[in-house]
Amino acid sequence: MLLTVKNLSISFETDNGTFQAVRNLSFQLDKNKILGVVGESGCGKSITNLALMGLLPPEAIVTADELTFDGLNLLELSEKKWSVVRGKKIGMIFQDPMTALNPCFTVRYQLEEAIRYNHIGIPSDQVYPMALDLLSMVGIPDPKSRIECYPYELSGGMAQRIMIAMAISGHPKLLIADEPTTALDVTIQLQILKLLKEIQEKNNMSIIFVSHDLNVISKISDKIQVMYAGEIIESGSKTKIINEHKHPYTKGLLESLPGHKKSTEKLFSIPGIVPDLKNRPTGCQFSPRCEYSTSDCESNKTIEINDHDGQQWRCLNPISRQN
Amino acid sequence: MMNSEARTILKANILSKYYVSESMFKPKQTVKALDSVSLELREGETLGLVGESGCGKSTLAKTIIGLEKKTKGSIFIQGREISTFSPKELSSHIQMIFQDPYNSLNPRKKAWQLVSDPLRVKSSASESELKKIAIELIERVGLRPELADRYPHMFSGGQRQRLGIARALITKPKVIICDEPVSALDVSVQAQVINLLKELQKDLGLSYLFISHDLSVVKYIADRIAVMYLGKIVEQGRADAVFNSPAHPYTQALINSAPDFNSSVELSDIPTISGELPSPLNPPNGCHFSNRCPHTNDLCLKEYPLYHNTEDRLVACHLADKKDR
Amino acid sequence: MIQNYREIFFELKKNKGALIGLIIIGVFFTLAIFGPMLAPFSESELSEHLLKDPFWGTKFQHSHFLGTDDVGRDTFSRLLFGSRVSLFIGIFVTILSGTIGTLLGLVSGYYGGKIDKLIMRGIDILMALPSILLAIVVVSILGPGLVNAIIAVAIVSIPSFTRIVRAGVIDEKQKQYVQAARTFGTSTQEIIFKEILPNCTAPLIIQTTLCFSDGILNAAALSFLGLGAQPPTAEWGIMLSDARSFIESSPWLVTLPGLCILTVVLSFNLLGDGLRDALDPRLKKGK
Repeated sequence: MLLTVKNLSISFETDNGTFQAVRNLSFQLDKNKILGVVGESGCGKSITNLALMGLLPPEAIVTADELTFDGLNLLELSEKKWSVVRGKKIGMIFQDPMTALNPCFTVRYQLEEAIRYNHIGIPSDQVYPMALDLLSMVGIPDPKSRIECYPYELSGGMAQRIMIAMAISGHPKLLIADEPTTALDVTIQLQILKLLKEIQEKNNMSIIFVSHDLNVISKISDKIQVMYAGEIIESGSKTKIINEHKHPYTKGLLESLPGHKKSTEKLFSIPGIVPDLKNRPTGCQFSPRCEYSTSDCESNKTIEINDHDGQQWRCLNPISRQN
Repeated sequence: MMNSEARTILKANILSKYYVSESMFKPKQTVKALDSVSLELREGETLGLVGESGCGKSTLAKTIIGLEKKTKGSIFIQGREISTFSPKELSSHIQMIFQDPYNSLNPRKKAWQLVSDPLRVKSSASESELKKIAIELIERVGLRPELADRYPHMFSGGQRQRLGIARALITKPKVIICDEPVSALDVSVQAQVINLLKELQKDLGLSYLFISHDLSVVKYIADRIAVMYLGKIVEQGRADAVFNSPAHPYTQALINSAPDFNSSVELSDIPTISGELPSPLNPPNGCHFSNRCPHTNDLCLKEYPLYHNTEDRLVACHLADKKDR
Repeated sequence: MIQNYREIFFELKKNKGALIGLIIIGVFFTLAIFGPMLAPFSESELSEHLLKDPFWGTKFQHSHFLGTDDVGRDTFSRLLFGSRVSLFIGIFVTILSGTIGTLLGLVSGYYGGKIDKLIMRGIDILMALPSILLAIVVVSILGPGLVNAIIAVAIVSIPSFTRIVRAGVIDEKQKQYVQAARTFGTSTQEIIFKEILPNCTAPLIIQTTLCFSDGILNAAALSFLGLGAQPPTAEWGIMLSDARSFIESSPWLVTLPGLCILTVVLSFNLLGDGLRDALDPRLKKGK
């Protein structure tokens, strides 16, 4: 296993008390696989990514039974050790490429900076050719002239490609992509998704692909993980989650999508809103909004995870397959 | 199903909006954000407007509602040219719902004040009357009336959009421009707001100009659809017909590119459109889509295609022309 | 809104400096309003006890517990009267420059284009000149006196208000709630004053506190130069100037007014900084 996470919890202290942004998260990621993480705002998907990169603010309280990446225990890394991991073993790309790139410096400057950071001691005459190589790898036409551009001269798609180039410059084993296509037009999104898949296969990389868009997740992932209120409520292979999902929230998410609904049918909508993490409901976090919830669901226990046939779900009343 | 005799309630005729930048040091540059756009919205219907960034759909919304001044062409609402209305009069005919729930409500005003603003500006109703009407609407859009005295930061994104909808309804307009009304919302909340919009349309006989980059939402809610690219409408027709048999290659590309969990097509098998949107300062000669279209021929590079009109479908493509000959 | 103020005050309390500043300002205001009524002597009352020391000095005279100046006027009383003058200065400078500066900023920011360029070039000119010099020029034209000094200092304080308000307006102008107000026909006046201005208050409040203290400082400087308050008005700047010749023999005559100016200006600055910290994160937490 490339990445093993066991019972990861991330809490924050505020003036009104401590609250858990993420609790008891457990999952594994194999080499060369794409894990799609899907969830709505406040579900904790982005915070988890930051924890995997050691980028949480100092006031975050992180506890876990295990947090191992490629044999390294991420829980015990000093800031110095983290710099060996970040960028070189784990790369990250973000949602808005226009704000992720520094507007004051050219693409060349930023790309070369990333290369030098990820290849300590690289001879300076090799940096520029590597930069051009990377740009071709991510499909930038005419790299020699593009490399001298400033970020404001780039389109969203170009900027995202450059961010990908920077992120893979260290040949990381894991790429964390946090909503990388959300801010892009749909035709460009397709290009970027294909590019990511291509790079993943060529470089033997794993990807954690985070998005709120189930449609995108369904196309790119091998395995899907659904998060809600800081917990993983269901996970499994792509086909299982899309076609044989067990958790009512997953069902709700899929049914809320307009997809192939006829305009005469009302859209399914999950009633209510996501819970306030400072005031969590007891028992199952989804029970206040769930059409199948019972008093058992709301009682004071943490709902245990069922594990069966490569699929896990956290529910006392899972959906059974009808017909 | 709307009958084809439904009256046209909003009409844009060869509407153009150019942005010109003049400076001492550079030659004059013109961006044709809208270039001879003509469309019709029929009473009680939803016209979906789709396209990617830079296509001009937001500019179209702003020009119709008066936030931007048109350069050429005309806009008619209920038969009357829109420039003959003062903004206060216009709000009884057409209003707009904005995209960003965190940005479209004045943070210093209470919910009922925000909702009643359009009415307060044009009528001499007393504060208590305004409050009463506002609270009725707040309930109508699915919010509890006790929330009327709260400030925007106490509402969630979906609730704020509902307030925006209530605000758009208070002057009883017949046409509502929805500028990406659900794009900034979570999926489960999107569905709630879309359902609300449909319900209100049915109950109040509203007509929507529904702008979105999300094809699946437009496919669900629109009766007719117009596809825009680089300031022009490239295809227009009945929504189900356009989605089932798109005539313009760009429309086809849009439909292909939108991922769908229901479809079993693998990522690698989905056809991509290469290249990027050309700069609006310097669109290609001939058809604007020619540098990315898989079917480009010589004619496409030289001449911009005229509209080809068959069976309630308008397409701007030389190949659609040829198909029918 | 009340909720907002409570939260702001809560944040402010955390900042010790700001709290101290607030307390001192409170003391200053109280003394300025009530002090002169309780002063043992009037500001211009002469006596035969010349250049007496404060109670810790050798040449102490019981009736004048902070000493006297070279014509026998009681220092303590004059300091109290001076605080009222300073309060007066602070209030009027702030109101004058705040109103004019804000109006200019609103117009400049909202309309943009040629009006903006015109106003901002004017502001740039005002800012390019050192404020004291400019104030001196204005007073030379208008003639010396406290009121003219106030006008001069107010003119010189206009640019900071204008720039801050203009920045705020430009920010708010393109937000969708302002666009919405335009779509249903809200008058420009209402948009500027009822929609945009209330959302620019945070930086404006901060600037107001700073302007208060800057105003006092600048007016004291003008009075020190003989261009502001005229004798026999008790004003801390004049007291500084009068005491110059006696620095060696009666050092407290110079030090005490100087300390008053220092304390008041410092406490306003501390409060201003504290407000900036308390208000800014709230602005960012908007979502």
